[in-house]
Amino acid sequence: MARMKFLCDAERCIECNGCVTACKQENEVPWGVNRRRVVTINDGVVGAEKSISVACMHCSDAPCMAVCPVDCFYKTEDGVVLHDKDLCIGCGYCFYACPFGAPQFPQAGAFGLRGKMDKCTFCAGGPETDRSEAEFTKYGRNRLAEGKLPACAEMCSTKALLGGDGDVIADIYRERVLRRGKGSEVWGWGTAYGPGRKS
Amino acid sequence: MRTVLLAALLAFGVAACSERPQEPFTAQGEKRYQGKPDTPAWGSNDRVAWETKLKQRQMTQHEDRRIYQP
Repeated sequence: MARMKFLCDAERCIECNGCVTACKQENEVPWGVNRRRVVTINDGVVGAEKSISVACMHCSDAPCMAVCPVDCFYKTEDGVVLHDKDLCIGCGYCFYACPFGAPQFPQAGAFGLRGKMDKCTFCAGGPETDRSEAEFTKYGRNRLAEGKLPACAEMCSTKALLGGDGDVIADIYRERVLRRGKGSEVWGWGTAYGPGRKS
Repeated sequence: MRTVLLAALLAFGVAACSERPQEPFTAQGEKRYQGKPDTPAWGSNDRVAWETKLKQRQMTQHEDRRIYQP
């Protein structure tokens, strides 16, 4: 049984925000809502700057699910945490509970009125008929039902952001780290384009 | 005595392989979600085929295997 997770390689993320753009474009996320964003620490400090792409981490024991007063969250068989917008009251408890700041609230009115919560769906839609207009309008595109991975991970140019079954992406990351080593081997031509072939 | 000790050790070791359910439950032990039911991502198709296809797709993120084909 797959357990869907994201994994971001801080050594590779170049803060291009391609994942953010891909998510917004794919799911037609409204203005002011960012299901995914890139966080940078030590910005501008040479050698110490690191960026990672953050969204809903689809926690195994999700705090948002635990605190929701209307119990609008559920977890799919693939371990994706989703919610029902028809039940959501936009209270914001999940925003306080989430350690990643994943829940987002659109500005529904001119006076700071909070709309229903919106968050990363792992491109798995929501509790509407798969690939229906209603599902797309409320939750965005259901790429998983199309046999595809989340747009952010598939669009990542440096493959810093990996998405998929936790076991598979952990293996990919492990093999990558073993191959590249640490220190100066992490960057450079050989790492980016391979060792080259002798003809 | 030795057999009992081995059995206890085995039971202890195997216990590490177990996995407790991690979904949040209410105090009554019932699942909380009361919203609309959602169909699985594979829909009415074959789950194994869907998982295999998705796994192949996941491996395209592995540039060592994708680019450096022997």
